[in-house]
Amino acid sequence: MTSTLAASVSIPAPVDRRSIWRAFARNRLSLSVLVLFVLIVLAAVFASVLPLHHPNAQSLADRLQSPSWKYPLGTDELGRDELARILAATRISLWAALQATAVGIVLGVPIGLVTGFVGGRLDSVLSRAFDTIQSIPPLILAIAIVAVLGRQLTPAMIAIGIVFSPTFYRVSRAAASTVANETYIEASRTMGQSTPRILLTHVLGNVAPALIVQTSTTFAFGILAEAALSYLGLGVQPPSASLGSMLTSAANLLNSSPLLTIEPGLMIVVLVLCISLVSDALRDLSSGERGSEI
Amino acid sequence: MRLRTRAEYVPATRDTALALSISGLEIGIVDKVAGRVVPVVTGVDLALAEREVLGLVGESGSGKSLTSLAITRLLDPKSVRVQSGSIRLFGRELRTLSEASMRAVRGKDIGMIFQDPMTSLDPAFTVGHQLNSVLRRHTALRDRAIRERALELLALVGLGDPRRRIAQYPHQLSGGARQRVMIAMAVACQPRVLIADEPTTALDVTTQAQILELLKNLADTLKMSTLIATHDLGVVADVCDRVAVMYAGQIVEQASAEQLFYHPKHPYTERLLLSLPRVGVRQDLQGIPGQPPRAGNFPPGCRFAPRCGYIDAPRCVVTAPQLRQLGDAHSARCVRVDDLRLSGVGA
Repeated sequence: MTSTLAASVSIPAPVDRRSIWRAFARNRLSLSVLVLFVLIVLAAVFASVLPLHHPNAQSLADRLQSPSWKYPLGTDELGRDELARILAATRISLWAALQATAVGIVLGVPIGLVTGFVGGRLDSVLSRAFDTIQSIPPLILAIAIVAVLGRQLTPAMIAIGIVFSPTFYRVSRAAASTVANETYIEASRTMGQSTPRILLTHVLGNVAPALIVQTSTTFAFGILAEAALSYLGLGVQPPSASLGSMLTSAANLLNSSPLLTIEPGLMIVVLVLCISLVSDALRDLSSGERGSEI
Repeated sequence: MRLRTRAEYVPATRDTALALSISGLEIGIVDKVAGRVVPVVTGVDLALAEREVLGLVGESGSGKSLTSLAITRLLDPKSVRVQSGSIRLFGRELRTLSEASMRAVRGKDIGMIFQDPMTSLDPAFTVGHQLNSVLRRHTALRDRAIRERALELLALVGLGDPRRRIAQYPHQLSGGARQRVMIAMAVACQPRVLIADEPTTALDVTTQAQILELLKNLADTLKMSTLIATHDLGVVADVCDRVAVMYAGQIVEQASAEQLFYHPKHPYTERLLLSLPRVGVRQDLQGIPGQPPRAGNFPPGCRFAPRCGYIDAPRCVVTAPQLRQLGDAHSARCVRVDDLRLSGVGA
């Protein structure tokens, strides 16, 4: 039928969640990457119940050991189990990235949805405000916050989240202003739905695919930002482990024990790569495979 | 052409209850550059009797869609404004209602169907989800009862296999099926008035007939009064009891469908009927010469005068004609209504 063919072209995003998962499962690379990421997250979160050494427990007799059955990834200069430390560090990294991403979403998305939907003067004023925020370099702001509040990770990550918020604002604003002119918005008004209700269901529902992609990208940036802060000694403080601070201390022993640098570095790479590949796959799915069931 | 005759149909008079009455409606478009409001709909008077199907006919830009949107107060005040007039739903003035009470009216007392079923359903949610949200908004039904009512509604609008349909997304449905879902949403809370704005325009011809049949049946079973805005006289002949013809923002003729088709009293109606293709008549289609006047540029006299074959200067071009009652619920806006012999369908 011609009308159905026309529909496959004109309808913006018929997102069938079940078919997205099916397509995702068909793509072997993204699926295996997702599985790897989930395993890392589970291991990091449940590290305390795994049969491992305490990440801060020192054993000076076992300093700078090579990998063995007792220490699968070796030990550092204070004889601490490298595997336990990396998992503890990963957990802190994920938590920090989550904080920054959450702050970005909470600040950017609701305001973006409202201004995109309503438009007008409010939109111009707030868009300029977010442009201003975006011009601040995230790490510099985090360093300034640390300088004022002391060496704590949470305020620094919140600062980074604030600088991330304009991208969320932009994405949700653009999507909301497109959706605002759709007939189904008008149709739901004729059914007596209020503007907040329409924003929460129809607008948010149609913006969601773009937001999911943006969230995963931001999350990867968050991990890098935390590693950078801790590398500079501004984030997690000793004796707690952090991927960044582990790199700093291992850098002094680069010649004698190169493995100590490679391990946390590899973890950062794997985390960021996993998230990027998953987010790529999600983006392709939400934009490419539309209407495959027509 | 098949005309609808219903035994129980009574023309709208003062005695019968009016579901919807519009009087003196004026709508203007805001011209931001010139800083003024350009009138596009002037003096629309309409009465929709209870359980009546009224057709509002006119070409694109004649103001029929604006009129139907004005009833539900969904015109964006930044660009389109209702200047004056009154819109009453069972005697209750809608123009002065608060926004909150108006929201309670929309979907509950007045249901609305749009032209394009392709874009009037949200692609991100299933049919069931969208039906549920209407039911949740206006009824006390919850959970299982909502689902049952939704299945019932889908069956009511003639969708086969409602259990499968309810879990489908709009892109999995054909145009006709989507329009059926839209209709199910519009009648979900058993509104007393249904407004359909070009309900069949975007559908193919066989689907059009089915959707019209459905609208007609629903109007009967749910005891609704229906206002159908359309440019298609075939739609009118199929389902409407009474017809109002709009031209350049005015109602130029109002009559029962039978009267209008067989005995038109306004030259514009006559030309519209002449431009219909007829089965068995070998004849070129006769269009109406010229263009309808643009909003803000309406002629001072009769707005159809520049295109009218019966123009009688100066009385047609100097003063604006009023809608004249011709008895038997028939009225026309033409000064020559007494001395013209116009031909209708089959005459």
